[in-house]
Amino acid sequence: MAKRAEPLTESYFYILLCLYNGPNHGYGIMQQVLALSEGHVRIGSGTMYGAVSAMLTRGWIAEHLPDSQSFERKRQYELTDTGRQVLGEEISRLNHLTRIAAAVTQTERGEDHEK
Amino acid sequence: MKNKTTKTSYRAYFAWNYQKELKALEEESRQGWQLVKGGCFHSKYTRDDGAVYRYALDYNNDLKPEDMARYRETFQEQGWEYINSTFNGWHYFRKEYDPALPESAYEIYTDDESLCQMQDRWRRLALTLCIAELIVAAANFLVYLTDGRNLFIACMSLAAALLLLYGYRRMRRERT
Repeated sequence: MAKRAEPLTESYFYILLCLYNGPNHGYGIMQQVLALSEGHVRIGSGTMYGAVSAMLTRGWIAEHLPDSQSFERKRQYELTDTGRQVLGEEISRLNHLTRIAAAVTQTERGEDHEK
Repeated sequence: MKNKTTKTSYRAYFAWNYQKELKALEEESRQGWQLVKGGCFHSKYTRDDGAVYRYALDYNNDLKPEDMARYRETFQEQGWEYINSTFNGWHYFRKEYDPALPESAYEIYTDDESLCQMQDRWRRLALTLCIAELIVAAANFLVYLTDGRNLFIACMSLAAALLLLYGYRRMRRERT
């Protein structure tokens, strides 16, 4: 089941997001997260191992081991359909939250202006 | 006099003081002693003034043999060199110190959730051992009440249980 009870942690969200456009290896994910977050989020090895292990168990991502035929020499991770669905739901949830936040803060600002 | 090239330290740390152990290992490295084998009761160093290392200490007693390759690779790809693992699930890594890198490059747990998960793995073990020690203490105390024997064992088990309970609480306070 793709259903999850809680929002994703920042690390989980970034890892899934970095796999959205195709497979990547651990170091590639770490570098991409660093770039996307403009240097604010660095996923350490312990955090990466725990998150990847949990997402492999839940079937959100799949791993591909390097083989002698392929050019790629590192273990790669790929988003599964379940993982794509989980990420999509989280993006919808976050969009919903920002819409609510915008509505509330803009209303308050509007009222301030009227005073 | 011939200069020593290896040394053994018998300085031991409680599990909940692992951050202190890391600081001590870094100090040794700055003084030219590089860890070659970490352990719960003793650690071994070799003399090398050519580099300064930062260390990482991870507790993971859930690793299956088939997970070990992925585990070590995950650290290796971020520049962590595997040193060794202890019998009870602590893993030592080192990374050459580069002043150009930010401090966060030397942290292996970079969010609260994963750090808590690591600490909780140890805390579960501590709680299990604590309960086991309490049972041993209670059993031996009963022997003492009926036979007048085993008071020492009962007291030692109770002390061990209290120490583990203290560690169980302290481990959470080590959060950075």
